[in-house]
Amino acid sequence: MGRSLTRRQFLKVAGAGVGGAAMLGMGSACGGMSYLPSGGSRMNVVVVLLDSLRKDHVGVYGNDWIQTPNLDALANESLRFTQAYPESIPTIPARRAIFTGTRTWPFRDWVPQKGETFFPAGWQRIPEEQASLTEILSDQEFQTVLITDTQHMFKASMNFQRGFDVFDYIRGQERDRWRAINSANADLVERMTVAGNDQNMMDKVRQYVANTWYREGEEDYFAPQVFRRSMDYLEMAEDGQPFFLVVDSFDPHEPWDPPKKYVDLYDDPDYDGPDPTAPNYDTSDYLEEREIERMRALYAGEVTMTDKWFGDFMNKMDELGFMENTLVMVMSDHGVSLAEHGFTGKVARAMWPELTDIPFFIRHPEGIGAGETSDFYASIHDIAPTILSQVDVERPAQMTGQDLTPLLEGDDPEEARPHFTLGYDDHSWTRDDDFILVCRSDGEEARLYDAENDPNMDDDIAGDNPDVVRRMYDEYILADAGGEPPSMY
Amino acid sequence: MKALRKALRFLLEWSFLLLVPAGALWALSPLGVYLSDYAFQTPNVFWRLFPTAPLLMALGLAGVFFFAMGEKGIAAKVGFWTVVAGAVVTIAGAFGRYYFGLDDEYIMTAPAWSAMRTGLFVLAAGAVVFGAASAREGSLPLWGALPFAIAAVAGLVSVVRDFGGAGAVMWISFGVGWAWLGLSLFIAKAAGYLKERRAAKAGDSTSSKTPATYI
Repeated sequence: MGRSLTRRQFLKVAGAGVGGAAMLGMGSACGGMSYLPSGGSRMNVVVVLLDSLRKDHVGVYGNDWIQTPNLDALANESLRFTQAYPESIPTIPARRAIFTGTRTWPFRDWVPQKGETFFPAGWQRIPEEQASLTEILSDQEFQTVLITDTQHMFKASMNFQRGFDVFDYIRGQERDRWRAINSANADLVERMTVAGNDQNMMDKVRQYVANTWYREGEEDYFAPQVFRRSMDYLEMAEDGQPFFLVVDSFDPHEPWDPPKKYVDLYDDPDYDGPDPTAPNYDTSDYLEEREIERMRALYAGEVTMTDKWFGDFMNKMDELGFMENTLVMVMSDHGVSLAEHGFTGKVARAMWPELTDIPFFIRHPEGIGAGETSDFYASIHDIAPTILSQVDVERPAQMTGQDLTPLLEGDDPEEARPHFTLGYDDHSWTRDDDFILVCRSDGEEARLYDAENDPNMDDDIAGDNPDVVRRMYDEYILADAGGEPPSMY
Repeated sequence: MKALRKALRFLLEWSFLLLVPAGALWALSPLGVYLSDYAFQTPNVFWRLFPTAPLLMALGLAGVFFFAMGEKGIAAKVGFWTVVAGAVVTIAGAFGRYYFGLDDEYIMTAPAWSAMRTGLFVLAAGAVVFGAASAREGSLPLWGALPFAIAAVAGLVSVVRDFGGAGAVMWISFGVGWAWLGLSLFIAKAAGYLKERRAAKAGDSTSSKTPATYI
């Protein structure tokens, strides 16, 4: 039966429809933004990254001769990870993982960057399609600040300033092409190298000497500059809260030339031989025994100098009241070989604990997890998800790292991690509670170690355990890499 | 003096009309947030204006409560005072956050933001109680109070947490509900006035017994 619509009914229905559509339209047009006032409990976040700091050169990890009182003090107020690793080595892939919360290994997307002098796999800018932690926090009204002397980050081919409101780049570290290399004092270069140094390291020291001739006192060294500039920022940070401050110190990376007072803590003050400030990235047979001792003392001195200035920075945090409202994370990106297993520097096949093991502390402003330790295989790509969780911001799907908050709160991890895998250029490394395997990424040249009885990885037992090698390669490396890592041999 | 008192009385009786701009401002706030962010790179320019909405809501509802309602039950009274409390807390929180920068200093406790969010919740909860009670008691026109109560439920849900586009629609509905309440009272009052005039013209003596309220 037909039924006609009166004019009044039509107007009512049409009006309601238009009103509803308008509301829906307004709601969805502003869909990208919250309709509620933003804010709530926030905390500042400080990430301190100390390049090349070995885990075994931090007192709290059991070294009774190194002097790192400030790192030790922070560790005692923090959750300390005893088995933390970088998901990738070295500097740039590790930082990509930190900022994106995404694995970079097995480096399938690697595009060698023009203008570079160093070409390990994964050494490239953050891919454009990946979001960075910094951008996300900036969107959440954090003031984002990067203070660093890690010259690789501010090369023209890189983009690590993405999302930072402030990026303070301190020039001159290592190979930074800051000053003309021919201005380097030849005598100083000779004093800072040893006879066996290869041309690559000679060039590194020459550039470094050219960059640093102006130094007058300790405050002109790089770690002091990085931490002093960070303290300057803290002085003005109160009005910029919440802030996300990344203090990225390239020290204690080589060249190792700390002021004499720090080296004298670890070596004969009357030593007058050459200083092996820059290690060859190769076997260590170019060094005399005394030179090895000297190199280790130089590195230890650099660590203690870095710790001293880190301590000043933390004191400034405390003085300004930021310890009460700031999440502090301190970690390294990798270690460095000092001839413990016949290698110096960072060599991909030389993945022993001195290269792979890193310190990692998380200090919560409310003391959560303080003084506790975790043997979870924490990784640097867990940093971004953890920070986002702590500041109550949803993490993007790209972030494959874990939120470490449950561990901070004394609970089980978000997801069990019974083994861990990492990579450096053409080599891969994996471990579980029983074994540690190092091999070329195609499975060749495998070395296997008993994780429980030989944690220093001195006795290769791969020959006696081919089944374990096969299983770990197939089930850990290939599985985690999603198939064989790209060929680079 | 008498004229002033008369004018004041007139203003108070018609103060329920404040609900219309209050509801409109509330309903337009998602758009305001967007425009503020677009024009000033921060939504906070809009949020500095936002306290006007709960202020007008409280004043308008006071006009309704004291001058326009019929016999009020306990639930409507509780609802009214809850709305007033919510509005006061919301305004205090907004001022603390956007004018005095309290949360910039106490970033972990965020007292102003917490107060604002709590105030919004209390305001919406009070509106639910007030609307439902008024509709049930018949102290306001059913066709005005019931949609208001339903919109208030949507508003209550929307302030619990950010529900994205759906939440924005619920938030807007809440604003529309307030505006609708004001309009419905205006229509009822105007209709009553016209009816009274017609009755007076017709010499109907019962017109003098028309209650001061709308019901």
